[in-house]
Amino acid sequence: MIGNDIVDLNEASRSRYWNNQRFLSKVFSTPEIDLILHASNRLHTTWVLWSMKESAYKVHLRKYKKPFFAPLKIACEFDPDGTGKIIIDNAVYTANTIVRKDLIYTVAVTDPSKEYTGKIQKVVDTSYTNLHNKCYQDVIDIGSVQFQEHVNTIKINKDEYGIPKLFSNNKEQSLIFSITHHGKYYAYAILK
Amino acid sequence: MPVSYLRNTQNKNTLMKTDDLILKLKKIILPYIQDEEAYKNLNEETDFLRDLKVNSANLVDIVLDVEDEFDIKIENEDMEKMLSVGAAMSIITTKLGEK
Repeated sequence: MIGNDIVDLNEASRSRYWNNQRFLSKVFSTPEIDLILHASNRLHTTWVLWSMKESAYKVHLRKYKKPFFAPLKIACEFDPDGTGKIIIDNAVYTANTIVRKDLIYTVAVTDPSKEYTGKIQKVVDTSYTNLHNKCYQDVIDIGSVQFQEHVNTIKINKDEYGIPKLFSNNKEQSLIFSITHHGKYYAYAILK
Repeated sequence: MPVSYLRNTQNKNTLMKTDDLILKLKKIILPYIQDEEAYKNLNEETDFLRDLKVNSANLVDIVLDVEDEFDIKIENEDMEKMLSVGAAMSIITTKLGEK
């Protein structure tokens, strides 16, 4: 299982509340807030933790099909080697986070030994529709190659939980992928 | 859901109708929506994430804006349920009633 989440830092820094105690206390636990308050870059740490939570939530939703909105029930921890772990109830997910100047990107997985492929892309047209379509088109192109079907026969539909699924000729395919977009960026991650 | 309720703030016994509440809520969520069509057709069933395509981080911003606008405190258990316009209205109504 896989889930990903991208944060455009220019976009995130414009949020009125990200640096506000009220926001922090609704989203992060006391140890997480400590990490943020002692971080050399609060903006980065805040959104690293956020993207860990969001990406792990996507994996968890895929697994248990029980939607919820409770960032505090998703706990982030770090192993001594820096590996990020996310705990939701009794489930543990491993996070792989990339921090760049303008973006934070996390891929969360159930099984860290499984490989995945993915891409981060930047767009000029930042409308929701364009970002959404670009994500879909990229995954459709990959599906087309993998299943050797014409792109026109491939489509992506979200199920009732919002989990995207790939279909070719109306038949659901076994591609497990996650898509995300924010601000100027979109990304996808596909389990190999 | 009650059609109207008492708003017990500066103007005691001022009746706030459901329509007024929806209007206030619409104003709060406007900066965060990413689906104009769903916003135009907004009703109590409208889901913030699925229909209005609000970014989930912005959902926390909406909760904070609601706290400020109505001068109420939304607990985390309430925030969990605040996923639709109707749910938000119900939580705001309850909180105002407790004041």
